[in-house]
Amino acid sequence: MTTPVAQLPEFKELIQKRRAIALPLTIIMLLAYFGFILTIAFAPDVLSQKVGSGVTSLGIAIGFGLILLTFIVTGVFVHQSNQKLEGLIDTIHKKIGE
Amino acid sequence: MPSLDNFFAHMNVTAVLMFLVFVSMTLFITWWASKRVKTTKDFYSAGGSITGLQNGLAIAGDYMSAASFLGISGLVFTSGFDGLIYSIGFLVGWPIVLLLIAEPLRNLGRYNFSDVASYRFDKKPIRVLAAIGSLSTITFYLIAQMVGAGKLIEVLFGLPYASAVVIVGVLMVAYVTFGGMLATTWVQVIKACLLLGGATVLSFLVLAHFNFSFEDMFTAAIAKHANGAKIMNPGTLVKDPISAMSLGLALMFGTAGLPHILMRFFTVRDAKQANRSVFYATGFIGYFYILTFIIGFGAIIYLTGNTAYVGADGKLVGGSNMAAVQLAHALGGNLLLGFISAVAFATILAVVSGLTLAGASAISHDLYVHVFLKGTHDEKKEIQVSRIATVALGILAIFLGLQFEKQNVAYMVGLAFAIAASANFPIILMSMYWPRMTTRGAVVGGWLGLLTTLVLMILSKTIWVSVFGFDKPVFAYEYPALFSMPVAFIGIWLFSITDKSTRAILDRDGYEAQYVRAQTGVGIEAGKGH
Repeated sequence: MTTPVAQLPEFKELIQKRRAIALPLTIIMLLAYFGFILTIAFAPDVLSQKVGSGVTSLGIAIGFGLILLTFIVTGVFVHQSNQKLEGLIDTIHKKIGE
Repeated sequence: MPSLDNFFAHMNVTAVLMFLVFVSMTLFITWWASKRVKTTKDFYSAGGSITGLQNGLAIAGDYMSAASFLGISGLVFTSGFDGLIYSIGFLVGWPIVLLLIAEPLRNLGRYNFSDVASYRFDKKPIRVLAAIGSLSTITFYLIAQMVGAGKLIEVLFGLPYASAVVIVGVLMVAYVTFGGMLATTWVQVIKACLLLGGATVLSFLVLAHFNFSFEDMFTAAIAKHANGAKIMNPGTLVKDPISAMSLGLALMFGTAGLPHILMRFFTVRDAKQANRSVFYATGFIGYFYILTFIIGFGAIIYLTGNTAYVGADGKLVGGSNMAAVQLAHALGGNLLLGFISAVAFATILAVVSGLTLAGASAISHDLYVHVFLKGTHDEKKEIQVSRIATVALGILAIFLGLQFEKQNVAYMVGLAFAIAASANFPIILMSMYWPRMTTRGAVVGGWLGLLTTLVLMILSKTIWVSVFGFDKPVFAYEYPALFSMPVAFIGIWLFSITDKSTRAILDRDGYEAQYVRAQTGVGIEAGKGH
């Protein structure tokens, strides 16, 4: 009984939309984090620069930025998923009478 | 240590009282929950009755372990910026869990990730692999928590290390055997609130002193710290590029393979609530890591140079893991110290309970029911076996806690993440997204990943040199993930594409139905008995 679901236009739309939301966010997260780790590994001096004229280093600023980015990425995904995907999933469940 | 005894002599009453209040409160919850645990679904997944926000708090509770609270604030106290590398690594795993794993996991499984990894494959070999992967991860995580708990109680209450470890072991067995997932979840929720509250108070007191200016706080810390302005820069924590990348990989992908965390996704009603709980959890955890960073800097400012907290050798009284606890005393006297230590203890207790429950489910649900009984179902028997497994795990945890007294807590957790990232994560991810994967590929790749991790860990400095006493480590780096993760993925790929067996045809044919259910949740009720 699951094979018909795969043929539904709503299912194809769901897969497409989910990929369009999740893929860019995953790539952003991977690039941001491994960019940070590789900078620590190969060019730690870059992160030792000061932000403006104060004592706060670029590393600490970027670190806090990454924590914020993590929160934003999960927030965007949950919001988008509720807006664009939940309706499609409900429709699929209704169509096959579950 | 006479100065230590003197220092803690006055707080014992307050701390012990706070501690007793928490323990009796949680034991009451366990008693309440025990009357509601009737089926295996109740025992492992709280009957699916937990809301997104509650689960978010419980996940955060599971994740904000002793290593996070005591370890990271201690790391910031000793080396400043480097502490942030760990916090960020622990946090960035969450979007990966949410974007790739959470929904399919909730839609395909019932109690633990073995349900998902074995969904379309030959159940028996995959369940054995997943159970051993889970138990290896849990063991290393458990050792770290037991050592942390033992040290904390030893210092705070003046109890010998051995009795402290035994107390933690007995309490954790009590929570899990009687209350199951429902009690464990509520203990986590309460503890998460207390820990977030306590850490907020500490950070507030530190920042208020500097009119909430980070810049002023950093300046004061630089003036106090022996390393001066260097605490703002990457330091010695990550020694070479290979170790940096290896640690980074383990932390980012390890989260998506932690059995006790993945188990939490089955306590909510549906995939939507599972997603929502990750969002809440990420918020709480991120906020908490910012607090531990402030607490670490507060500890530099308030404790450095004060002989009540720092010995003549420049080391913190009670070890560097006690930075947050000592800071509580410096800022709020015995009352705040009592509160923070009770919370720290509660943290460890709650985390070991969650770990034990996940371990018990691997033994009873995977090994006993699906391998030993070959899937025939007897719910009463299954709960009974998992209760026996819990007691056995409790005894094992006490034994290992005593053996590994001298091990570094944060490093042990790092190893648990390395196993999770190399053994559990590859089979979970590939089984969800790669249609051509077969039973043979999963089994060979999974075991290769697990064994590579364990062998490299044994050959590295911590075990080969420190435990076995050889001169030089065979494996020169601290973390194995950079090598063991590719081994697992290549193993899965190679032994799947070359698989010509009849089982392989079944495995590949099963993908479409699995994919539909993973993406939509269609068929969850019908599929209950799998």
